[in-house]
Amino acid sequence: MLCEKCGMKPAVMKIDLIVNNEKKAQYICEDCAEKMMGTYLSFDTLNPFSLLSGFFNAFPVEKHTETQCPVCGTTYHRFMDRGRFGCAHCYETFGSQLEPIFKKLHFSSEYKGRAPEDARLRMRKEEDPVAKLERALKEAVAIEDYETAANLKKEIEQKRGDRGNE
Amino acid sequence: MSEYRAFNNISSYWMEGTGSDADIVISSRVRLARNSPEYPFPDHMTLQQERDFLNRVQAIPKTKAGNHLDDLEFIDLSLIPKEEKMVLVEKHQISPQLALSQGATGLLINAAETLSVMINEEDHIRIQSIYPGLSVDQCWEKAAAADEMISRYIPPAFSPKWGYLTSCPTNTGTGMRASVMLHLPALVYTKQAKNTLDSLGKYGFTCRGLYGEGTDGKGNLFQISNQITMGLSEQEIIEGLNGIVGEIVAKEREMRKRLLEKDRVFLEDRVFRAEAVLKNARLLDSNEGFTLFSALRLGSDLKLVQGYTAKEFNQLLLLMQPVILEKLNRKKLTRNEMMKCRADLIRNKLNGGDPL
Repeated sequence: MLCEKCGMKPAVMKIDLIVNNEKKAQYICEDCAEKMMGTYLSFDTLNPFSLLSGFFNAFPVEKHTETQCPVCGTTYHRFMDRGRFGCAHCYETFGSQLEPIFKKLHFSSEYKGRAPEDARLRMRKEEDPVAKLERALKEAVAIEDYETAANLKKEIEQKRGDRGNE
Repeated sequence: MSEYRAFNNISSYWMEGTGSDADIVISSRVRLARNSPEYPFPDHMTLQQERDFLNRVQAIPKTKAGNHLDDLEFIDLSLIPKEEKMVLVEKHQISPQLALSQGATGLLINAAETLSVMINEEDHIRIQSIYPGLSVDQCWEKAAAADEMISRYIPPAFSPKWGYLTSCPTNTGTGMRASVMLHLPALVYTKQAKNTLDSLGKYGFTCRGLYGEGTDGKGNLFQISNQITMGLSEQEIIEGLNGIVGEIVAKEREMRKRLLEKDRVFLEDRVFRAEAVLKNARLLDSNEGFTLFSALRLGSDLKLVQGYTAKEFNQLLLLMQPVILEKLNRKKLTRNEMMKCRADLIRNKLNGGDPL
């Protein structure tokens, strides 16, 4: 895709303009971006739009397989053309058609990262009763309340013992 | 001038020049892309939807968990003039497209600028953590903690099959981009950079000049990052990046040693010329500045010249950029004024003053 501002160089980024109180996308090249910014384009933070241009040509779209996301209206054709999903539900809509695309992009279509649930599990672990007692023990020692500390210590040992027998 | 601290701090913590291998690795970064299943991706959002989502994120720092995580400040970027936003671009805190977009976009950022969250960029949420030196693990910890906190308020779009669902299929999966910024003058001088960096693709990593196209980056500055976000866990990607960066750092050190042993006069000539010009020039354009900066920094790393710190070099790097100079002058500058201001600040700095 060529720059929509100068029509000379390939577009590398998409920006949103507001026209009549509505968003309008504009695709611009490196030179035009630097002119608009008044500074250099650092590739440190850029999501190069051109990264995918040409990539999707390797996956021809058959007319009869045209699917459309019921939530955002993005068609498979448009997804291939822009290289962008419309919403999270597009993934379900395009389903098995995505497999070869991910394989080509990532050498694999298998997800091996963490899940949001991991975070929830970790939070539950933080609320582990033993951890709670240990914190209370530390506080008791800090204020030199040794009677409470002794009781807490007993309770912790008991809980640990229970666990060891499981 | 804006009252937000992020526009008034000239430095970010990543410029400190500390951390492991800080002579070669300037900074490390981890970025996580996240979305809400409740809205279309920003590309397809209406202005009203963007505004709604922004309001939801804006509330997070005021919550108990948000407060606990860090001293995050919320900035509604749609209310900030473009020139101010460019300060954040030059400090590598926000992307150029976020700065240029006129939609309802926002930013959460902490005081040290080690954590920032872009809102309504290509994805609803982009969490970013930057630290000085080779510190990808530290960046990951910080970004992952922010991710956990934010996902309590905005549960992320996630599928057990594909992972985190993102706008662009190149990010689907972990949604993570881990990267390091490297200064590799010896690899460039000995013409080894291209070979070394072109081979990264087959390991799922990519390298490019930080500024400008291709691998002949200004100031011999390069960025290496992971390309793939599926098939590997976050930890595996980070271990891979650490391994590759370790090898490149070793190669750069080897070439530095070779230059000292076999080409010392050539090296000294470059370094001392750079020092002489930077300490005396009255007008300096940024391209020349980048080149001289790189030579002087190398000379300092190799103890050919004394009295400079990595932090000072990182600050000099900032002065190569136009918007920061205008910010320091509190007015718009012509091209000649810019060159004069840059030369003055650098001369003063290298002769013992502290302009920043």
